[in-house]
Amino acid sequence: MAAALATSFFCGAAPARAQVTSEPSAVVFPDPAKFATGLYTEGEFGGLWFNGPAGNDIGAGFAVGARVGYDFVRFFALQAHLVGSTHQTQGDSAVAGQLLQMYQATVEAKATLRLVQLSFFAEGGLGFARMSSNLLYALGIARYRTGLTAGGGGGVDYHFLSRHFSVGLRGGYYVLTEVHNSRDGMVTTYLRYTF
Amino acid sequence: MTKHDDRRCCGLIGLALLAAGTLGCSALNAPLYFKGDTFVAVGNEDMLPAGSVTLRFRAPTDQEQKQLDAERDAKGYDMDIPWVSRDKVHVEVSYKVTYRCPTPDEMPADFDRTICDNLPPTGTFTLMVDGASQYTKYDTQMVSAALQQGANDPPTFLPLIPTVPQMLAPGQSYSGVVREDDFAEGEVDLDALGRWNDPNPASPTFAGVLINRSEVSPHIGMGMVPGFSINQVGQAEFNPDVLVVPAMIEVDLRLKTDVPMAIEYFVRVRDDDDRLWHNDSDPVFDFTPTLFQPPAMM
Repeated sequence: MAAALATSFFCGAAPARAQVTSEPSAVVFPDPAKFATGLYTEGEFGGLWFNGPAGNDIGAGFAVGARVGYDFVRFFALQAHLVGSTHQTQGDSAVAGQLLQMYQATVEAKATLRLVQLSFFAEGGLGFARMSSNLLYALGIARYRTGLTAGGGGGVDYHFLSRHFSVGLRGGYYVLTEVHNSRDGMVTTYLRYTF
Repeated sequence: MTKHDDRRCCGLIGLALLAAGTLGCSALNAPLYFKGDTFVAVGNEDMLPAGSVTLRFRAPTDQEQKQLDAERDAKGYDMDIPWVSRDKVHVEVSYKVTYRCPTPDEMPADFDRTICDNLPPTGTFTLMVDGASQYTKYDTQMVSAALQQGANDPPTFLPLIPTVPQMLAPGQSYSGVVREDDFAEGEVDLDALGRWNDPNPASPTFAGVLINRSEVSPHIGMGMVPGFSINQVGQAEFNPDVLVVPAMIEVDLRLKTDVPMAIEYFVRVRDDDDRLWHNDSDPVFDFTPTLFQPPAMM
């Protein structure tokens, strides 16, 4: 018995090692069909500035927004967009340094070109813009606090190797009908959740 | 409901909350701005040039009037609760004063244009703020005239809200703000002078209430104001929560200068309870304040 144990200890086989017997499988990309259609939401933040007469009196500001939309097919979606931004009056007027917020709500159409994880899109729509106060009216560059807005933009989206999430960068440019000859531009980064 | 449905539901609720919050914020702390007409001072005037903005408020509904009456009864003092009150209406003035000659449109008929050819290297200005609540109006110019002893004596100005004198070089501007807390002090002074005026020479409301801050002991000039009391050790105390202070409805600015200057200004109003008039169907609040007259004129 002792001889058998000793023989087993000293003359036992070396540990077995795993051996690759076939080529590794290719990286599995997410199936675009799983996130290219259906309901999605986005949260965004970035900057917004005014062009035209409003740009002389109102400084660039921080913008936060959200979108909810539906991709009907891989390349077309409809979405609702709500964004708020906060600004400070600038320049040499008596009301320099006052705060002003702007809220924009638009309905937009979006066209998307998807290249695996990357996608490029263009979007545009119309809606309403509302100022938090009559500051622009007092400065003589707006008639009403609420007015129509229309515009569009585009961006790029990067999809993680995850079913739901992607991030992106977008820019947009909107006409403000109630602010004399003024527009606003917006650049934001966003996180998208596809249901 | 599946886990997937749960996530969807939470996402939509979150989005709805974000939208509601955003829209809600649009109604919060949303001031309104009223631009006053730019006016000029040519320097060293006897009658200080002035500008004025009168705010328009809607009249209280029957229900709101009943609430005011009930509040008066609860407070227990024998005066009305103001409809336009300091705790609901917050006033501020932003202004910019520029050392410059008046434009041809602004120029008074008797203005000596040659002054502009040789402007002094520095000029001084003082902005004075007066106004009226729904009960009382204060006019620095009139009070100054009343206080003047002799025709050649320099005038003494005791504005409701004074500001610090500033010096400017030609072409230079100064931007400033008469803040809400400045107005809060001016408004309690105005009410003390109007509704709670103590004519007793030993503790007169005028002019002590204008010179001293109302919340600082010994609360000079506040002797008749509800909330004022003398404690057991003989010290004056003032409880600011007792009195509902009327806010200014009319804001008057006066510019005292020694050189030609122009002022542009905005009145900024935060209206907590939507009492400013903006609906044609609402009746406008009518007010007829009594002009304060200092003791010398009484």
